[in-house]
Amino acid sequence: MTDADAVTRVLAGEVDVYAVLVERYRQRFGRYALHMLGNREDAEEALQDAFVRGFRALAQCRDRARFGSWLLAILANRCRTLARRRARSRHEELHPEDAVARGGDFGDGLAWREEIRHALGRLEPRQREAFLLHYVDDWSYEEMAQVTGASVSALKMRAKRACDRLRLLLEEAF
Amino acid sequence: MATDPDPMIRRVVGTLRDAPEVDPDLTGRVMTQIRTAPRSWWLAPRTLWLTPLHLLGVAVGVAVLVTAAWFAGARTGAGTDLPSDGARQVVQFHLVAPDANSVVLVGDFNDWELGATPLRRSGRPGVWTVDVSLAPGLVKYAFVIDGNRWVTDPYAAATISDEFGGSASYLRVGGPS
Repeated sequence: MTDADAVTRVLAGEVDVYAVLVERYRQRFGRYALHMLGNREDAEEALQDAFVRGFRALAQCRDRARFGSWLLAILANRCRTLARRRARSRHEELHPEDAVARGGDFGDGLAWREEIRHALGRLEPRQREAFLLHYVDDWSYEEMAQVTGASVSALKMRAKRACDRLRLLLEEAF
Repeated sequence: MATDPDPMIRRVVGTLRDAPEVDPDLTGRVMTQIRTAPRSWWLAPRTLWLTPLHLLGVAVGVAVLVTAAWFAGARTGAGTDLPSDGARQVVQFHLVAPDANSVVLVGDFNDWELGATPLRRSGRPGVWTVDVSLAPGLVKYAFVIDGNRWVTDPYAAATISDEFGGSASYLRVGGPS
């Protein structure tokens, strides 16, 4: 069943078909939310909220074949909102002075993962978003422009700066 | 696949793609929430996080919206000079689309349903039109050409992006007597 078919059936009253779309995008979008927000609890909250909001607003999904892009725009908004809220209430999540276990060599998987998490948290949120969408989730800059509302050139710059900053942070750590 | 020539960045990407599995129960929680939440979910109590700067932004936004919508009634392709239907008002929408094979009107009033409000060709070349009975208040709407090309009303004074990646026009139906 294509996305367009599923959306059409849900809008026609087959609410249960929405589960097909949730299953289809749960893992991929969950990964994006996890890396944007830095912890699993917030990521799943943002993801669940985005899917529910998506259902409520499904009639406004103008290109039903591009449901995934449309839902990602909602999720990106939810992640930004939640990140701002968490930054106020739990400063340690994305704060540069976050105490993270340091050390380990380049091949130490656990330390490496922790350093990446730490480095991602130190990126400016728009840069982190551009990096994750383009490099990790393989979105084209044109698709990202539709989702984020930013220009292609701005997104390329954000992604490049994210790479430069990540490289610097990780070289410092190892 | 998007790649960066730097081996460290490639390794970062590889690690990030290998993310832990999202809780499989999430699908069930979403479906439960969908089935049990009230339809008017936006009216449910929620916590708002406002700073003085946010409040100033909201005030400016409301002022702009109300002003723009006020002018929209006079200048948009949607005219409100037709007979009213009780408290409702009949609004005539126009769109100039000479190359279109079909044009439909979607908005809050018809749940953005593509088949609900088709426009018909008017007597003027390339001009499509439809009359719609609308309740007083702000109306959000857009046109869809040939079933897949969404356009805002070029004559609407207010066109605002929504959080779903698109734009919509605003019209104010009714006004102070």
